[in-house]
Amino acid sequence: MPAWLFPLILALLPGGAPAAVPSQGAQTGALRGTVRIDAPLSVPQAAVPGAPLHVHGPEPYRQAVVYLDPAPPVSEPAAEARAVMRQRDAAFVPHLLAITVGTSVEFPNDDETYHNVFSLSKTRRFDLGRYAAGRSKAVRFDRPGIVRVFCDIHSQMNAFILVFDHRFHAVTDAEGRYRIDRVPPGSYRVTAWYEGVAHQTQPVTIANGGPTELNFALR
Amino acid sequence: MRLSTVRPACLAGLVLLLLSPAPPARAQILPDRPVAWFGGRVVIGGNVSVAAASTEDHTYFNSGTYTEDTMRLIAAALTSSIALHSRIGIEADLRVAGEPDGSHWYFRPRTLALKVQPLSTPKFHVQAGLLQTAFGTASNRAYGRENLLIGRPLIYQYATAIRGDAFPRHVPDLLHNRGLGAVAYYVVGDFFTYGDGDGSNYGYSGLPLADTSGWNAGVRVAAGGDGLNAAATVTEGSLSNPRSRGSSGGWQASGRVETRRVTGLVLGASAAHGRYLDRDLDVIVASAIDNQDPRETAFGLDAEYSRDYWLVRAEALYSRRTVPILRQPLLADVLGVSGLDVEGRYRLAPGWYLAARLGSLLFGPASDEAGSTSWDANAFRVEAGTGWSVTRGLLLKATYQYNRRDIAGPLHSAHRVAVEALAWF
Repeated sequence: MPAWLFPLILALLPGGAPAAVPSQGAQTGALRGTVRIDAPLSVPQAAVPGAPLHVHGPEPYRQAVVYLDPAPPVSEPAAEARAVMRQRDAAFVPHLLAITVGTSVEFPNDDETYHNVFSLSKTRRFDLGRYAAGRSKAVRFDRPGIVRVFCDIHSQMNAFILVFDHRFHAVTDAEGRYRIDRVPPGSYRVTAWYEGVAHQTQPVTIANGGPTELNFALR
Repeated sequence: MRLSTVRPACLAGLVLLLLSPAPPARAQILPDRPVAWFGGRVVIGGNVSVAAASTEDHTYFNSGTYTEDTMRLIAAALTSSIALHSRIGIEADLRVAGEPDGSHWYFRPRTLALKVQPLSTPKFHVQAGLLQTAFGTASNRAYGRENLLIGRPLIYQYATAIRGDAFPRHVPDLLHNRGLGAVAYYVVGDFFTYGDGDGSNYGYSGLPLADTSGWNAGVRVAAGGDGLNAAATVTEGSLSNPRSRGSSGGWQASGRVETRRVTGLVLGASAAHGRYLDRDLDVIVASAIDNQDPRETAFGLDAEYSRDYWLVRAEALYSRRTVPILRQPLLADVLGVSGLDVEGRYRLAPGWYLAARLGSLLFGPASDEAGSTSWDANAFRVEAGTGWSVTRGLLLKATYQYNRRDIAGPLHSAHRVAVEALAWF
């Protein structure tokens, strides 16, 4: 098993001991910061004769997932949630999703061509078959773990879905910023993870009230 | 490059390159997607496959080009696109293959060409160098991963009794080789039978209807838009006898038009015309009493439809050749052959599919004063099997294949079971 998977799997699997267990009714804080990614960028592109030449355009921004590792137990009931991962211009949009167990992800096809979304990940195996523009199929994720998503027709199409058994996670935005709200005060370890290429874990103490700043630099 | 001139060291080199560490997936044996360097300007994909059959191909149904047994083969392929400029690049598709016992190894590019995009749209581009003809579908498919089964379609693999480096003196010569395409022998030509140093001798096999395993030298122009794509090539080397086979000479033009206006449906039509005999035969061909300018003409139709968990493909090809005749009796006909392959796949579960393929080759008549018979033995094949993706980049296949040709004797039919492991990225 790749070494980079261990911290994420430990975080995703239930049963991790929390660093701090807040009492019911305690105030919460927030965790925010930025993730700078200097790890190598892999530009998804078909490596087959006949494919278009490399098109010089804006470099796609890189997203990371930031999560508490392990997360504090909370008594909030799990809510039915929905997320969307589109198939657009022969790419998955967004390329990275972080969801909570019980979430259903819609996979609408926005392209004029067929796509065939599938995953052979142990966390969730599925194959949605080929469906045309305007149609969508959904998959519910009931186990925590990493799900690699691919298109059977376009080999360059790939995406990540990270399924957590808690809500203390966030995906960075275009500027690399993230924010995790309603974190019970206490001491935690926080991990920033980038597509299995790089990860970093740091300790942090969340105070009542205002946000706590924590920045990452992934190489 | 010919048989056995490159030994397994080539495979080792290519495999090492395939297994080299890749930034996006450094902890895996093979990366799980095409590897990109320099901001995507260099993109590499590849595959390694090992196929083993229950029996050797004593009946020559799967022994196609270069005596390659497609169901008992180790192969590695590397595809690469290198963007030198926003509109200029290099494309390569390199292949090493050979038999598990270490024999018949070769290294050969299928494509190694400069690609230029003269207009702002990527829908129009020109390639020059070593490339495939524009004919049919197989030249655009990745070997292995896009092959639903282990055997190959008959029209792209089955060796007919016509060779590129030799030809019959007269009709009896031709008919003597009915059903013996993989080991067809003619007195005229056959300059290149040689040994590989271990005492064995072998030469060229007969030509398949279309050969996409080698390269041709020439230019390809492709354009597309609004669901309609077209490509044309002018190459030295022909559809059935690529330039990489030897001195296959003369120019051949080929073209293909396809429409994708209905989602999931691809319809294509192809044509090719040109010389197919090796240039080394020119002097002899010039002394023929008939057909001093032998030509090959081929027409093809193909269709693919997919929906949900189904994929169905069909490809038909009609080929006709004229053959120089040195002695009486003259051959009264052009040598025509019709080929059809139909295949389908159904995905039963994530990573698991069933597939089947039917193929047939029907040969036209070869007539002389003594009568008429088909110039080669009609051939029929059915293959069915399953594929299971252990991971996204590791596919295991198992198939059963039945072949039959319309001749009596030990070469009449054959059953084979084969398994294949294919790792790709």
